[in-house]
Amino acid sequence: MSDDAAASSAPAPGSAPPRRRIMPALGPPVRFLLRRLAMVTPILFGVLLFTFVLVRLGGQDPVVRLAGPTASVQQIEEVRAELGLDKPILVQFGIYVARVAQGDLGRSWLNNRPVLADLRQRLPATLELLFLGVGLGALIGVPVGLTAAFGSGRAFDQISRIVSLFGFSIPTYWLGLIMIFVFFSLLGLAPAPMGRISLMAVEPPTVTGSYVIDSALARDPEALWSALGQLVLPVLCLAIVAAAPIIKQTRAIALDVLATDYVRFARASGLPRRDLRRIVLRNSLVPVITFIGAELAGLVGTSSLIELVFAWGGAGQYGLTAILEGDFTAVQGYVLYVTTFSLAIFIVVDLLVFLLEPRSRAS
Amino acid sequence: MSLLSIEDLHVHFVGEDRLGRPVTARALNGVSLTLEQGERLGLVGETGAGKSLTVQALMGLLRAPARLVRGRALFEGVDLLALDEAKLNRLRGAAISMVVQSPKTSLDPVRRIGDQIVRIQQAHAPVSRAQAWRRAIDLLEKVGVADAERRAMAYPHQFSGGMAQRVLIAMALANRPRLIVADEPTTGLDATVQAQVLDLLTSLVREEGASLLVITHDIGVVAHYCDKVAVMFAGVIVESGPVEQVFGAPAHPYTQALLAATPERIEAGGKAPRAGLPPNLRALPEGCVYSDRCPIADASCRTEPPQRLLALGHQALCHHVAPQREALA
Repeated sequence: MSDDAAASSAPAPGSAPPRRRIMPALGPPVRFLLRRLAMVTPILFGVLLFTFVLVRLGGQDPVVRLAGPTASVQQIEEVRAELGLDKPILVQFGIYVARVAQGDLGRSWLNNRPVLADLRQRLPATLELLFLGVGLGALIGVPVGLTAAFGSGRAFDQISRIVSLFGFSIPTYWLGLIMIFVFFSLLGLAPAPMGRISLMAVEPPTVTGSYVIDSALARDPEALWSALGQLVLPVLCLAIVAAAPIIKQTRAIALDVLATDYVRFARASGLPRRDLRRIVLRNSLVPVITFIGAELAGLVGTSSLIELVFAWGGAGQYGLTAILEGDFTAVQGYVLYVTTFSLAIFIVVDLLVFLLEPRSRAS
Repeated sequence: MSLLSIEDLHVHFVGEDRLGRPVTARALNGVSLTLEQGERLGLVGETGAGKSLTVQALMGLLRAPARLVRGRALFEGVDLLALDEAKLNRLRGAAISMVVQSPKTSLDPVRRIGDQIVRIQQAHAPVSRAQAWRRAIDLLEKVGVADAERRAMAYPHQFSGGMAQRVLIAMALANRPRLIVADEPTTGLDATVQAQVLDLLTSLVREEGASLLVITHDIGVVAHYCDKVAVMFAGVIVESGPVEQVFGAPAHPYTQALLAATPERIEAGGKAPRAGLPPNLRALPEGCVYSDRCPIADASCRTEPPQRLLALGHQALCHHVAPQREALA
């Protein structure tokens, strides 16, 4: 039968055709993960090279600034040699890559501390803000988007469209400033936008680096309360910025699914509304997750603005400062961190998609 | 009481033109047809004649801008068009089931085939999963899916078009329907597979004692598989009756043109019929909808044509039927 040929070649559980496998003992998800991880090194190398060249094309000569306004030409050249910036750029890059490979991101020229140590110390603050903000944004955005799609054209849909348009149009830092003005200056509801914990509170002993988790672990309700209070405004700010595109995208995805032949056929099959919604939800899941993953990676930049406004002291703020000050090693370290973070997010998303999408397992 | 009786069904598409003026496209203009228990009826007509739309109205699948204007569709005496969604859901997928024209995209891509056949059973009857799964396997075997137990675990993308159409037929049979509606069930399939699918569909319909309403633009399919035929043009059934009578002695000028246009007749030396533009549903002629294209139209065709009974069950909607028929005989 001619149409059986295509059908029987498809793999089915338990009866895969005998073929040589490179990694026979591992399950498909693990093999998939290894394939993805193999791509990480070349990407990181490319990003390193790109950043390395880019910061040096910036036009700023950091050596002149570091040496100070009174330095003589000879002194400037001494500093340059000390930093290794007198060597040819390829040699500089070779040295840098060799060090990075050993886990040494170099020292910041501004504070002379190891970049990696600074980033590591500030990372929990950034991750806390980012995950809570985007998480809250998704928690708002996905149900709103779905509800809007199910009642497409009705009042809720119209309102959600206007609201998400606002979310799109508002500049993040402006929103942060306005929130501080209203909730701190005018109403006095929010704590002062100065860091991650009140100046009055005692910092909890560091375990994870997240003040919320650490103060909970230390059973210090006062510190916990303070840390949570400090989180409210910046997280809300990020959530608003994150929710707008999630609403719009989720709505569009769900509308696409609603218009498919299989939803139509499900209606013609008399499936109850509950089943129809489940079909739409399940089929929207993969594109929505993919989008939220991209959002998470994309909002690293936005969240550094929020960090700046709220004096958050996270890795984002560190990176911004480094860029403004022309601190080459710190900028390179920051970009490397952002890249690694994005890659990690994308790998997690890919893995989720792989597990949720039967078609991706076919080949 | 007929199993299915569609009476004077009117559906319009309501929209606006570029200047914002309301525009109405009269897509169905009084469709009436009946189907008896155990009959197989072929609904034929050119693209845009309203064949699929008739079925969509029947199944409660009309969506804006399509609008039901008036009419009834009695299934076992119950007007489908007057039912609310919950009541309609009890019938569709169960007593009335559907085989659609794009099998591969009509299956849920993230659900195993077997689970989808389970789902349609559980939506209509309180059956256990295990029970429904066993029946799913039985059904797959019945529609000729080899190695059904293993294939039930597969996903739609692992099926070819023909195999997916077999799955849809299995789903259509799952709740023991009394009427199966097949909307161009073989479009997009290879010619050899088309015949297999139709043979399977009609033999199972007969085995189950169900009735079949099949939409097609393939006159050969109707001649081969159906007892009755209804010919549709511009949202009107212009001629209907037993297949031998309608095809043996076509009465309506449109049916004659349609039959003359089959490749076999043209090859056999028949005169190619006058080609015509598809009807403009926004500006249908007064009276007979076919009068603009009809070679024998005259002034009388500007008035509503009469329904002429030509033989038992054979009727045509035309002013000029009686003399025409005698000339042919």
